[in-house]
Amino acid sequence: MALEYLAQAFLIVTTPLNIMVLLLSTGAGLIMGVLPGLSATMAIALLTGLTFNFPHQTALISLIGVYVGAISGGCQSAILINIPGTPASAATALDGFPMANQGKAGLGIFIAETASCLGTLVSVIFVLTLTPLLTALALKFTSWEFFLLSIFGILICGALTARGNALKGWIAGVLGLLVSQIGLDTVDTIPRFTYGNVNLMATVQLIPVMIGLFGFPEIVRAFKDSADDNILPLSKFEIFKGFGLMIKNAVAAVRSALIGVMVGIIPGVGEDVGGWLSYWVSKSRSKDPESFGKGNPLGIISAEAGNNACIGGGLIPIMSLAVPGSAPGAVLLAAFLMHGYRPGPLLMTETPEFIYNIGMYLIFASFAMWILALFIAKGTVRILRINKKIIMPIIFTLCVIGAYLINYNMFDVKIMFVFGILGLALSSANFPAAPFLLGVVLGPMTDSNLRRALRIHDGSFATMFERPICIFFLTVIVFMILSQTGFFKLFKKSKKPLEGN
Amino acid sequence: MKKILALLLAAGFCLSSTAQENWPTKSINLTVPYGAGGTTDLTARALANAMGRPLGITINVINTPGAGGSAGSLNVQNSPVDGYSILANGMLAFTTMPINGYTDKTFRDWEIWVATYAPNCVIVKQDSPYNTIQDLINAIRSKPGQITAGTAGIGSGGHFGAEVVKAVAGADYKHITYAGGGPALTATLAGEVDFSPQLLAEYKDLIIAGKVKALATLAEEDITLAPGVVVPSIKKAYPEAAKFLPMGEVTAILLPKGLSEDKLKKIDAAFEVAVKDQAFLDFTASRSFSVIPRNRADSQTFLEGFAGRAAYILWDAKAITIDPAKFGFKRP
Amino acid sequence: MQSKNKDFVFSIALTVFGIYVLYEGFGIYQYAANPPFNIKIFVISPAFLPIILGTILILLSVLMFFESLRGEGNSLKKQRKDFAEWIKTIPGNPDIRKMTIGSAFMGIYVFFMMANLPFWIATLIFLFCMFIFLRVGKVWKIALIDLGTVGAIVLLFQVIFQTSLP
Repeated sequence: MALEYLAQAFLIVTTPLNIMVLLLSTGAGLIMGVLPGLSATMAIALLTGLTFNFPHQTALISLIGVYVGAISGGCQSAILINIPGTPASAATALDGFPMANQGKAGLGIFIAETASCLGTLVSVIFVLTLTPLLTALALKFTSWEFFLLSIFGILICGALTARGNALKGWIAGVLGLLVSQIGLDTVDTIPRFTYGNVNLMATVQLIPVMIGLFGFPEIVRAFKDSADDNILPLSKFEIFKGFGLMIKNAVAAVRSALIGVMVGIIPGVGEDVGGWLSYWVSKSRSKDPESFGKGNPLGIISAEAGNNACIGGGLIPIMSLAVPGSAPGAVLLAAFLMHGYRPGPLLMTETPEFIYNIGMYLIFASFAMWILALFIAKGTVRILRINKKIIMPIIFTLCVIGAYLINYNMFDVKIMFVFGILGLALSSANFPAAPFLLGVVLGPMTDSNLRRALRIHDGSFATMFERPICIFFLTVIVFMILSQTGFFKLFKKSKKPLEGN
Repeated sequence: MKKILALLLAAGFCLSSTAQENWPTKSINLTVPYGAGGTTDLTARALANAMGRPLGITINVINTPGAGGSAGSLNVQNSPVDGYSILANGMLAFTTMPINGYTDKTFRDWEIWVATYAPNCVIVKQDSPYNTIQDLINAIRSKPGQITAGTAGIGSGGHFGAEVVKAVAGADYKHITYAGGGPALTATLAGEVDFSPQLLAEYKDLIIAGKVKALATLAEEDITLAPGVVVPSIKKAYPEAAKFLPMGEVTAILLPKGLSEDKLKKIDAAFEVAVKDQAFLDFTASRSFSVIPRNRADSQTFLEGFAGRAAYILWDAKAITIDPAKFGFKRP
Repeated sequence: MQSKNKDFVFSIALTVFGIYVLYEGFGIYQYAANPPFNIKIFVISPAFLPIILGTILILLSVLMFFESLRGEGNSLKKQRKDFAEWIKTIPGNPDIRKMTIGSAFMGIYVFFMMANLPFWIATLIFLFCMFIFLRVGKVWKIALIDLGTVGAIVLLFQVIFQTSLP
């Protein structure tokens, strides 16, 4: 049965019209992903309206294409100018930008896009085979688990980005969490830090904060006289070397994709966390963790395979429960419903072919993305050849548009500017921006789940220790804090003299 | 110099007034003050598509979640009244905005076209000990403040549903709020909360598949979802609940008053076409929404009753401090 | 400014910010404890996380403060002196001047020009001023790049993606 449906899906997608639509929408997604501030959520939302009157299958193909494209495109701007195109690719910038500075931007983009493609493909396998089983995992997560997972994510990100001083990373994370507290709180709708401003009551939007934190410092730094107009060599893709790297790191890539799928399944935790988690696992399992953050290709591969695998992972709860795993997933669900599909428990009996169609479209979209991304990259790497003093003001204009288009509201542009100044100050003192951003992403989840859990259990923390997944998270969190603060080193040191005696 | 300036201004004025007659000349933004995939969002998207065609332009749907829907609504309220920014909102949250203290304007300050109605439904997990609405109500009565209800937040459709259950039981429940209908549903499935009184459309398929048990709907009649799957009205077990019914989310499109009658007529016409559009009707049927189209005048009369009912549910539940009478809301 | 010195300044600023968060947090607690909310239990109050975060922020900042004083000759007095000296060097530093003026341009663009002018005119003026200020080339070349960029942006966003710009 399954093969039959797959064959049908293959026939649908290979009609000339659908191939055309797939290429166009994947390309549009890639461009939106590359441009800082135009997020995957927006790309899908725009397309949902445009494709309303398309035939159903064609519309689905274009939506999948734009989703895959947007998530994968973000890595190019992250690698080339250190401004992630989407929040999901913040982890890619960590090793990608140093690689570009070493004159290996082409290679960096090649492995990033290849890892994205691979990540999506691995996630498709899970969508097709294990949807019912993995749905059960999503239902294991209650408020306590969500709370601990978000704390875990911020701690990891802080420790990873702070270059040896986890303190600064965690301070940045706490600041991000505090920013997310602005607005009407999600449990009781009580205003916090809003100063009576309606725009602030709606909470600070994520994308303007991201553009400000990452983009602004890079833009302003280019104004310096001393910022020599260093023009980096235009690097080749070095396809053979790239494939070599992929094969060498294949195990890590698949592992990252698996982590991405798991993260994608958990509702509310999306692509942003997937990349960080798989990056962390790769780094802590590596024999040479010091090389991460300095242009290690494995860093790029883990981050990109991880965040792209969330696409497939995120589709699993959509298909089985009609509950989206991330913001772009929510728009995708709306689009499915608009086209008359009813994701949920009846999907397999009413339209059994749907899941196979989506799987096949994902496969095609990831290959289309891979080819198109490399084409587009041929153009984008040229940015390195142009004087930064010309590029950066233009990028600022794009940032303004990106911030505005989130809600069609000038207030968001002003927020972008304010966070830009803040980001400049923080980055001048080597505070990393990524944990700040993740704090803003995960803040509402941290706050509402913690208080919800406490409310359900009448203010008692005790129930947290009765749940196996919670205990797992707690152990890892305690272990990480101790290792980052040098507790273990202390232990080792105190042991040595003992042995000496 | 002054004369030239005046002339220029006049010329500009003429230009803009001729532009008005040609409205709409560019795409219209339809703001949905919630995330994608919810009842309001889906209705808005279907309507946007159906209304865009007679108007000859595209209507872009923009999701601006935050502050329980009031942020997006106030954004539209504060933007220039040129007909290019329209709001789609659920009437429960919208009509209670003034008594929640978000704004001084009421629904009477808006042009409103009521489109659809989606009833509430009380569900419990498949292996829950409660098999009928009586079981649940008795449990609430015997353990006041202990039974947990998962909703999409303060002022959401689910919150009103829970308040009706509370009024029937005469005892309080424990309100647990989630970031939306989806998370509230997963929490019910995971067993984190005892019941969920959200909108029927959100878990229609789960009821048919038998993954959750539907105890009662807050519509006035029983609802047949599929052959053999009937959700009884709460009125059957508790006739005294009738005065709160029908309870559920009413979705409408609106814009602040002040637009020229000319443009309003164009919207009237597009709305008339849209609510008879086959794609729109198919879509609403698949989601179990009823299409209850009302023109501008009828919408205002309809909302007088509806808003009063919603406001006094909140007032009696002591969830607000502003007396609905201050805004002329009438007790049902 | 030395990185230790920056840490020193930031740790003080962040501690002050943390104290402000605590102050606001108690205000939120008061607000929520009164009608109509009546949330008097601290752990379920909306002020719970802000207060916890404020406390953590102060703790981490104090840690950073002491860390910045550690090491050879990093006394409190020296850090204060270093900071005062750094302040004096600001007006003479061409990099900081360029960055400040550039940011000011961007601020004017965001806060004033966008509010009063159509998007494309504001952007034309902004990019032109910016390129002149950064001396990227001859005036005709700047004008060309400027027009090309704005044209491309309008084409991409308004024609292809069908969005409306500010």
